[in-house]
Amino acid sequence: MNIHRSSLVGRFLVTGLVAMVFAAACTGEQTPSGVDAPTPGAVDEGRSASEALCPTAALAGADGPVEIEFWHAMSATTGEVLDELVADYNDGQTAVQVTAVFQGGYRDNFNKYISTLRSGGTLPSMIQLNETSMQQMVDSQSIIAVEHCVVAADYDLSDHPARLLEQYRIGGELVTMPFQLANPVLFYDGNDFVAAGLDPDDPPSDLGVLESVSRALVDTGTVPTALVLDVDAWPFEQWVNTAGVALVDNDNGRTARAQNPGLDSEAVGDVLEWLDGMHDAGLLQITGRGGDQAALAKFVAVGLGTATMTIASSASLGEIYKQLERAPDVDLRVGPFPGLAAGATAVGGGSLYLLNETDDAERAAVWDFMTWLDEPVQQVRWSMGTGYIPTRSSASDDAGLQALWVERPGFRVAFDQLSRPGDLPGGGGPVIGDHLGFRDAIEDGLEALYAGDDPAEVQAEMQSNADEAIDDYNRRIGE
Amino acid sequence: MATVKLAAVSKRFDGATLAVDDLDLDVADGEFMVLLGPSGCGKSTVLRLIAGLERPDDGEISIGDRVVNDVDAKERDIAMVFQSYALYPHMSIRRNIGFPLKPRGIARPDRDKEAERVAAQLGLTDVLDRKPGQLSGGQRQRVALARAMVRRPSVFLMDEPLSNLDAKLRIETRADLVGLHEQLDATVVYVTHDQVEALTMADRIAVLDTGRLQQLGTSEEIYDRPANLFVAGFVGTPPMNLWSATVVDDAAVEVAGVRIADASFRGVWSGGSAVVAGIRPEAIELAGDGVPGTVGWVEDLGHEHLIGATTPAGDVACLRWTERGKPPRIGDEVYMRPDPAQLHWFDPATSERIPWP
Amino acid sequence: MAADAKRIELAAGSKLVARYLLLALVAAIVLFPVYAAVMVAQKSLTELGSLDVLVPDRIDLGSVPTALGEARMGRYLVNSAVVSVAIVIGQVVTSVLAGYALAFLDFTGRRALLAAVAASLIIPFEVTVVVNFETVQQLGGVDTYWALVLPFVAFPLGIFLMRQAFLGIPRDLLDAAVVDGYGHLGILRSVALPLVRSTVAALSLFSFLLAWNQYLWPLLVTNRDDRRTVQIGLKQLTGAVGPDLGVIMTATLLATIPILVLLVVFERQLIRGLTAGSVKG
Repeated sequence: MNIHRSSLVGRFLVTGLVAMVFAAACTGEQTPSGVDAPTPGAVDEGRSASEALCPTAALAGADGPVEIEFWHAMSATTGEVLDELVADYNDGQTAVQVTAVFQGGYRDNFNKYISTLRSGGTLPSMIQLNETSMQQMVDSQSIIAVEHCVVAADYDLSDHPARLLEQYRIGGELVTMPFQLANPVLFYDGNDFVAAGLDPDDPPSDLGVLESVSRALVDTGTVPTALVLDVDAWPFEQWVNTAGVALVDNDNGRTARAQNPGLDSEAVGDVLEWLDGMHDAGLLQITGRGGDQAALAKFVAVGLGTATMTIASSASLGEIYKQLERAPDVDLRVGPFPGLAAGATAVGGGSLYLLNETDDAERAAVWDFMTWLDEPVQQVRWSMGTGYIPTRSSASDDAGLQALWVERPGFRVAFDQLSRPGDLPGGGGPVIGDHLGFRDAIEDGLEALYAGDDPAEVQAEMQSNADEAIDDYNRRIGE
Repeated sequence: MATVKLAAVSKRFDGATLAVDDLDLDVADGEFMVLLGPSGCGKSTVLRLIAGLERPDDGEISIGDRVVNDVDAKERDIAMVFQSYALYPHMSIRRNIGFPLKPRGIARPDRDKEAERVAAQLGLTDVLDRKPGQLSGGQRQRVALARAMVRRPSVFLMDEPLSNLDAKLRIETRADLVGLHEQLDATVVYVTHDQVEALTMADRIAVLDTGRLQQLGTSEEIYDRPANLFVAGFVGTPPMNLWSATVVDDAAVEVAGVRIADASFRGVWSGGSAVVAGIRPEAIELAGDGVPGTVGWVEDLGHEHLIGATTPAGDVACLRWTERGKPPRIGDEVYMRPDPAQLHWFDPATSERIPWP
Repeated sequence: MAADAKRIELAAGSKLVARYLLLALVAAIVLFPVYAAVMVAQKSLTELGSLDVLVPDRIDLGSVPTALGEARMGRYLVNSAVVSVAIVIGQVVTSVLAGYALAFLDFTGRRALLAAVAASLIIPFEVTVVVNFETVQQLGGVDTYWALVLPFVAFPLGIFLMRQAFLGIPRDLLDAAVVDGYGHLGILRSVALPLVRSTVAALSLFSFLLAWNQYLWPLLVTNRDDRRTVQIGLKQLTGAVGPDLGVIMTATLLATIPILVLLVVFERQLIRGLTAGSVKG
């Protein structure tokens, strides 16, 4: 029973539909974000224009509850927690009624949204998508940048870590509302560290240390292989991020649409060399390329003791801790993401978009719901239920979260990682129209690398494939 | 009962091959008409035209007083027996036989009753509840017949109904069919490539070749006075010997320099003309003189021998040797003397029979 | 290997044994994933990977009510059943009628129509999905059962399959029915259809499978939970690392049951279709 059959369809829709929508909608000139935004000029002028686009006060004038539909991609436990939050919001006030609709994973949700947009169907007022869709949502011209609401409502963003706001800004403008944040972290079995004579409280901080720790684990006969990974472009991008090197040009695509990939950088070469060396030395095992199954297999390997360490999203924390209760012989610990350098990682995860096929009251209602979800109380609840990093710095003051952090320190590791020093080019991770095509180029390369290809050849191939994906997208939207 | 009349009927397939070419044919009421010819001669097409399974490109088809060119098969009051019997494999014999009654609005019990009646007539009562696959070839053939009989059509059309039976059963069934015809007093148009069937069963035979009517007549007429070389060669086993002959003067015909007949072609043929002499095998005897030939093969049929010989002109001669004693052997020189009273003459240019005497 | 092969040749009996051993091996390979799924449905994540997971040490049907209730698999199963059955009926009716017409009826444009049907065979669903979605949207079909069914009631492959099956019927049988007084509908019902029953059975099963396993289309045209189908339900149960694997496996097995039932029901028809081959009387 294949429930992940949508990838081919996804690629078709992503490359085809956005282009169609764009061709149909795009007539005017492009601001960096592509949104119908006023050019940053006089502050007053900007403010009134923002109020027109996002009349955050319009809710007061509406008669009866304003109904809004919210399309999301949260399944399993996270889906349940989200449903509870929505229900509490609906029960807690009378002005807005939210209907949350699960639309498959992020990719399915995006595909359905674009199809509906293209065919003139009934659109939601708000949608949750992850960072790979950001450029395409901008290019679809179907959103209102949240920046306008922030300006109109004079919303205070000082409690939000700068790194996460930067992640969702294009051309200095906040495109979408952060909601759930994740970062890659290191999972490891402390018992193995002790057995190999290593300090379980001192996880490897970068790739160099990770390699020597791996060697110690294997040389002492503690585990057959030290590190287990799947073929996944996300941590790969993060290694490059930690070196402060851009993955695409135009400041990671944040000052203008990306034109060329930067996979020919020295940093990329270093990561490939490192992976190749680890793999050849038998220190690294690969579970394969295939989303959920390959990701799950990493934890199974650690749980069974065929490997000690793995790198995965902090979003898995909630579930992993739950499963670990039944595995007493594993002392699972969480450490910061071991970078290529000591620099910062980019925030990943889903964010909330305000859509422009909405009237004033609906926009105000979406803003109300978004900001309610953004409140520290809700963020704490969301984080505790799922393992996502809260969007608010002040969440760390919450007693419940602090208690959880004591019990499950891994949650704190991911939160603290947001304030790791270092600058990302353009302020955040790469913004790429066909980000999935870009990641495919990386993952194709990784597969070739693990199959024994030369790292230099792999790097050249990655660069040219990624270039093709970027050019293809830009050509389709007529640039 | 009804007559069947075809007037100048032509049928072309795919706009190219002329399967039936300007055919005129009258079948009398109650007549057993056999369409005889080799495969591909158009005889089955004629049957399908009468049935309404094909529509003619030209000409007129009438059944009884009615022109049926534009009448659907089901309105033509005909029944057809197929070479393959065309029994419906998923139905019991009872339902197979009663099947044609259903579109006429006859209720199930009445259909069954009729089916049983006809089945009894053909000795099929015991197999009524079986499926066609469980029956022998002969039984299936009778079921096909029963299915045709059950609706009491005015015309029966039969397409080689005996060709899938073994030799013994075929001879029996031949007689049965003739008996049935007399009993039903129905008009039958019967297609076969088997001349023995045609000769033994038909009231009249229509010999067809390349879509054209070659000869229409009774068995005797067809056998004794074949209208052309095709009929002469097609009807009769072994076939009629056809020798090239020369008219030597107004009064005699020679084969290989041997005078075989005194003939009077005065005014029609002059000396030196070539003709074809047709002699049935039984009209030749071996004698001390006559047309010379070398024995090529000898077949012992028990009561007689068939002997094949080659004349000096290269023609094949086949004759029956019914005398007692040792027959000639392969390689022997023999002399053949045809019975002058049983000679047929054909024009080699037109293939037509030359009326003589 | 060569020695084994020789010995098998020596005795027909041991050949048979070898054949059945091979069949048993193939059956075991085919059935293993199903067995594993059943066993995993009873275990926790940390027990995975070790071979112990395959030991049937406990049978726990506790996750069945959870899957049916909390995970709403019950409702999804009903929806999938309704939609799939409707699609099967639609596809069989249109395939039979169109297949018959394309096989036997002589009408202007038949060749062109046949070519069009053949051409539509090679158009992937992904290409038509956008246009279909657009149409259904404009007809107000979102969240309706008919929107889940309508785009699939004509099935080019089914039309082809039925046409081929009809062409396999001996010409004489159809001619006989014509002479016996039947029109096209009568021939179709009384003669042609009963003779292609095994093809209809195979088509039904195949189209049910396709309909049952649909994911993208139902996701596109439904927003309301009570209109959604079983594959979306399964997707909703699957998280990044998966919540309760037992519930997922149970739900997956529940989703497989209708197909198993159909296979058993249609088995005789299917095997007859595969082995009989001939319809000669």
